[in-house]
Amino acid sequence: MASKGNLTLKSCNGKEFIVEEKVAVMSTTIKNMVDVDDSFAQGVIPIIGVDGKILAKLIEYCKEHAEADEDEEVKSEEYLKKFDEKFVDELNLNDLYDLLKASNYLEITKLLNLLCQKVASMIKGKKPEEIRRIFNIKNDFTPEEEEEINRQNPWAF
Amino acid sequence: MMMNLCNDNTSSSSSFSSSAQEIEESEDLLIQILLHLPVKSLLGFKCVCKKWKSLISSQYFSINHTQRNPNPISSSLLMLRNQSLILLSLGHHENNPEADFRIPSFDFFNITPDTTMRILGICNGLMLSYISSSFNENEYAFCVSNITTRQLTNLPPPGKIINKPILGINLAFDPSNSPHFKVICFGQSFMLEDKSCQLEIYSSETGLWKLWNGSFSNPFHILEVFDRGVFCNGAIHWLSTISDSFYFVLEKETMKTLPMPPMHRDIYTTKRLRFLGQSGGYLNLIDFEANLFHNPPMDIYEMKKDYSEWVLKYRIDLNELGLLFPEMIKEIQVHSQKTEDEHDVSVHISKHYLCSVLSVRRAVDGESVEIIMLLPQHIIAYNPMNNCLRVLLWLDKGTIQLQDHKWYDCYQFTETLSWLN
Repeated sequence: MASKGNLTLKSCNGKEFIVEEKVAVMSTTIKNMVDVDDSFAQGVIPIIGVDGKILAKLIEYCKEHAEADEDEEVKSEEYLKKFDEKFVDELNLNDLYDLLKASNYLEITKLLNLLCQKVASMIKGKKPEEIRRIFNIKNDFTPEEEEEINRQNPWAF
Repeated sequence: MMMNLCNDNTSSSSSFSSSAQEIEESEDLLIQILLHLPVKSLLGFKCVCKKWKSLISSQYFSINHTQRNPNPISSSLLMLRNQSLILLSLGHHENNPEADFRIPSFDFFNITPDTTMRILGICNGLMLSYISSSFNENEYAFCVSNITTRQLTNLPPPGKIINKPILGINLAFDPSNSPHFKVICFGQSFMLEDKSCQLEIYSSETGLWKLWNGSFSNPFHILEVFDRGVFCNGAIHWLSTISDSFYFVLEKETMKTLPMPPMHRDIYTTKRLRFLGQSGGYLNLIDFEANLFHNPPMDIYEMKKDYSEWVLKYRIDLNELGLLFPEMIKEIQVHSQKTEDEHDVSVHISKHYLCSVLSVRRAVDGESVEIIMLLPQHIIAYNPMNNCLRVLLWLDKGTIQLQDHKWYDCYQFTETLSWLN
C-alpha cells in the first residue's frame, strides 16, 4: 500500500512500482482511473499488457518530465531535449515498439510523439519492400497497379 | 511462412518483430507514425500496400499532415529551362549527385494541343495557373492545383464584378492559418483618367468571388506589377520600381504602401536590380545597382514583422564571387569626358557582374538565408552568413539566358498534401 501522494502500479508480470501521483498521472489513462474510482488511489493499479521492464522505462521517462513540469528552472527545455534523445537512442528495437504500444495504451502523449518520431526517422528513406519487411506487410498490388502509382509520383527517383 | 523471424537480431531495423506488426495493424498508431514523415517519403510509401495508399491519400490524413507541417522549407525551384518547366532541387544531393533537377508532370491538367498553360504563382505548394485555348481567347480558365497530389480545381471565372481587362491575379495560401486559399484579382477602372483599381477576392471556403469595398489608386497604370505578388505572413506584396510598392493584408482587407529602404541613385547608375521574395515568413528585398565606375555591394534587406522598417541583413561583395566565377565578369570600356574639351577623354575599364537573383530561401538551419543566383554557367546557392556556397546546376552554354530569367518567373516549391476540393 502506497503512502499518501503515491500510487502503486503493477505490471502484467507482477512487478510493483511505487511512484508519486504526479508522475503516474502523466498517463491520461491512469489519471482517468484515479479520478473516477478512488479505490485505485488507495490500492494497486494493474497495468494490463505492460511488463516490468517496459513499465520501469515508462516511469523513468514520466519522472523526468513531471519534475520538469513542476520546476522549469531545475530542468530546462534543453535538458529535457537531451534526455529525450538519449532515452530513445538507448532503446533496442523491440523495446521501442513495446514502449510505443504501452504509451499509446496509457495515453502518454509526449512520449508517444517522441517514439513515433523515432520510428518515422528510422523508416524515412526506406524503399517500399523494406517497409513491408519491417512491418511484415503483404504487397496486395499487382505489378501494373504498383507501376501506375510510381508513374503518378514524379518525385520518386 | 515465418522464416524472416530473426529475434536474435533485434537491433537491425530490417528484421521483423511481432510488435512492429502489431503497431502497423493498429491504424491509429500507424497514422501517428506516418504524420511524422515528410511528403516525399509518404508519396513513395503509397506503394507499400492498399491500406497505406488509402490512408496517405485520405482527406483526413492530408489535412492533419498539412496542419502539422504548415511551412516546410522549400525543396526546389520551379523554373523554365529549354522551354520546359523543371524542378531544380535546392537540397544537398548526398545520395545522387546527378539528380539535380526533375521535370514535373502536368498530365493531370489534360492539356490538349489546342490549349496552353501559364503559371501565375505558387504559394506553399499550391499552384495558380491560367489555361486558355489557342484558337479562342475568350475560352480560358483559372485553376488552382496541387502538383504533389495531382488535384486540380477550377475557379469560377473572375471579372463578373470588376471591369476587364484583368490586370493581375495572385494566390494566397497559408496552411498554418487556414486550410483554404484565397485569390486576389485586379481590374482597371473604366475611366482612363480615373486611376483607381478594382479588386475581387475569391475564397475557397465560400467558393465565391466578392468585390473589395476599399479603393486603391494605380497612378502609373503599371500593368506588369500586378501578377508578381509575393505572399508572406498573411499579405500579398507587390514591388514596383517606378512608383510606390504596396501590400494587401488579407484578413483585414486593407491595402497599404510598402516602405522602401533609401536607395542611392546617381547619374552613372545604369542598371538596377531589385528583388522581392520571402524566406521562412520574412519578406526580403535585394537592392543592387551597377554603376559605371564601381560596383556597389549587393544588399539584402529583411522587413520587420511590424512593417516599421527594412533591416540590412547581409551585404554580398560581388568582386569576391567574381574571383570564384570569372564567367560572371564582363569588362566594358567607358569613355568619359573630363572637361569641355572633347579631346580630353579618359578611358576606363569597368567591370560588370552578370548575375541574376532567382530566389531567397531560409537555410536548413532555419536562421540564415540562401541566395539562389543565376550566373552565365551555374546556378548557385550562397549563404552570406557563413559564406557557404553550393553549385546547384551546371549549365550548358546558352541554355539559359540571364536576361530571360527574372525572379518573378521562378517559384519556390515545396511538396504538400494540402487538400483541394
